[in-house]
Amino acid sequence: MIHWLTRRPTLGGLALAVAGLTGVFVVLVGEAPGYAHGATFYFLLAFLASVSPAAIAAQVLGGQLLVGSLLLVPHGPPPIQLIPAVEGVILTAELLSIMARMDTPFESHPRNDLRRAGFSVLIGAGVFEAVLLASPFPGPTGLLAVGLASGACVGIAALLATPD
Amino acid sequence: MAPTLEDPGRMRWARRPDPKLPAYLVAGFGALVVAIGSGRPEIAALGAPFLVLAAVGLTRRGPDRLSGHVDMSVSSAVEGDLLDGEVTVDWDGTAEVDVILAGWRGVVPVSPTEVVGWSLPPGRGPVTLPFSLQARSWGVHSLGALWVRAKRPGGYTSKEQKVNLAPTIRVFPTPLRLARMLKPAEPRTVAGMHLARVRGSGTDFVEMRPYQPGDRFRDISWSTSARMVEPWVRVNHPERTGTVVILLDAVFSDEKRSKEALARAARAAWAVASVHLRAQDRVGLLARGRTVAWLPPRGGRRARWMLLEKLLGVGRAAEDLLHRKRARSRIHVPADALVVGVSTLRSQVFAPDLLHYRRAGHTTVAMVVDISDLLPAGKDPAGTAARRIWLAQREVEHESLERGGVPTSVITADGGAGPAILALRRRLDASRKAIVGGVAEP
Repeated sequence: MIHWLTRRPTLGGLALAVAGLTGVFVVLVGEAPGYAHGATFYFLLAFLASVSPAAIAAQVLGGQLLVGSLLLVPHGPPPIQLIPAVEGVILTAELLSIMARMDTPFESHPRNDLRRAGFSVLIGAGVFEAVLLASPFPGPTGLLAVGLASGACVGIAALLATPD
Repeated sequence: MAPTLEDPGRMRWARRPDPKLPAYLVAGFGALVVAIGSGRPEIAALGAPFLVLAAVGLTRRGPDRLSGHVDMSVSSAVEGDLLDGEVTVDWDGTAEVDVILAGWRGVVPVSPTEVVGWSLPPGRGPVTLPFSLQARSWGVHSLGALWVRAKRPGGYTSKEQKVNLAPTIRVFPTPLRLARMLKPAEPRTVAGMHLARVRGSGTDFVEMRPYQPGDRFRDISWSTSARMVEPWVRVNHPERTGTVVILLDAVFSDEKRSKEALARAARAAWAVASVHLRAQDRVGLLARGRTVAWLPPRGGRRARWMLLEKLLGVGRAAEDLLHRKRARSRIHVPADALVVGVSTLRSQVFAPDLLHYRRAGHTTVAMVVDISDLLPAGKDPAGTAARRIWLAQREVEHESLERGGVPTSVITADGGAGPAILALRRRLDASRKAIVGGVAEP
């Protein structure tokens, strides 16, 4: 039998490892010295979130900013290459959230949460890819297409997730 | 035992978002705003996953209905007893539920350990969860409240609610075996378990009979006399009981040692009270300190329960900061009462209090509960000095009682109250003989 209460630090370590790998990935893809600082800052935010769940928001926003900066630079990597980074940010946030939920004085069983974290990563990657496919159109057409694609994804997800 | 029910609609509840929900919403909408502002559709792609995940989580709101109650197998126990109980929780639909019994006092959890809490995997209610507690300290203790936190699997909001109050439990002090008792101040005929055949003034009714010369006017029953058209008197058993008032020093702090000291004093008080009540004496209780309890002297079975309730109330005050009462002015005890002070002599107001009753003419004795074994061993010079000062202070209080004419005896942790009572009884007998023989009391 697994004693999950004692595994909480392990989950924290895993979340930080994922955050570190995400940072390394961004540095490798970005090929610019400024990304190393960004990745370090992101890792610090993830560490802060592992200490206080209130900082999970900062970790997500920091991660998004880090990945978004790769999208905004001219001659940056193709957006589709950034899927691992997006997955990394989501997985880190999910693991930190599970860790926060386990911050109870009694035994908590996060098996289902871990499984759902995996699903969240898959959903995130799928949606990112689906919306990217709609984004090559320039200007307002592209925005409209992205908006429609995002709305469709949200609608489908909401329908699928309706409780019994 | 039925739990104390409270209207579930009045119970506090709150919906708590998952810590990542606000992050996902800000990340999603923020990316959309930046995408529109910059005219770069691919930025929106970065926010879309977060919006979708937030939408999935928000559609799975926590259950609307949560209910539960706590059942205990017993409503009373003795210190150290194991108490078995069950928590029953119910909710609508499938949910992941955390259950916790919080706010208990005077008990320690045995199973599950550390806290009485459970994290249940996704499922449907109702669920029954057994638990065990150990009664740690005497008193009337609340077992707290039952809190439930539930969320749908994959949901990003959970509902947290105090669904019910747990019952209260009475924990009695460990009984002391006592075979001896003190003689009340004004012993009547003899203190025994049964009434004798002799008749006299008292309160226990024997019969009505016609008035005879020499009968007291106060014994005439006016209603019977009116019916019989001649004076009739009420005849009672003679009063054969003594009156004992136990003055319990209820000074304590939040330290564990202090509570143990109070528990020892209370055990001694209960032992003295029990043995006198069994002998048909009227026993009262006056607890003074950080809480106040006053029970006028009474006899019989009901008095035993009332006295126990008062004592348990003192125990509750030691565990529960909210139930402490402020000290009232000095209480007048019956003139014929033997005042038995039970104290650890930690308080500097106890001795003057007891001496006041002595000066008021009461026969007064003091039982000093020895708690020197509870003191921390002086490992350094400061600790040793502190211990010496404490013992010296106790000795000063002890001496002041003796000088004031209050015989004292010490109840040791090993010897119990028996030898102390015997010693006090000898001293009281000696002083009474001295008074009868015209010799000044030592």
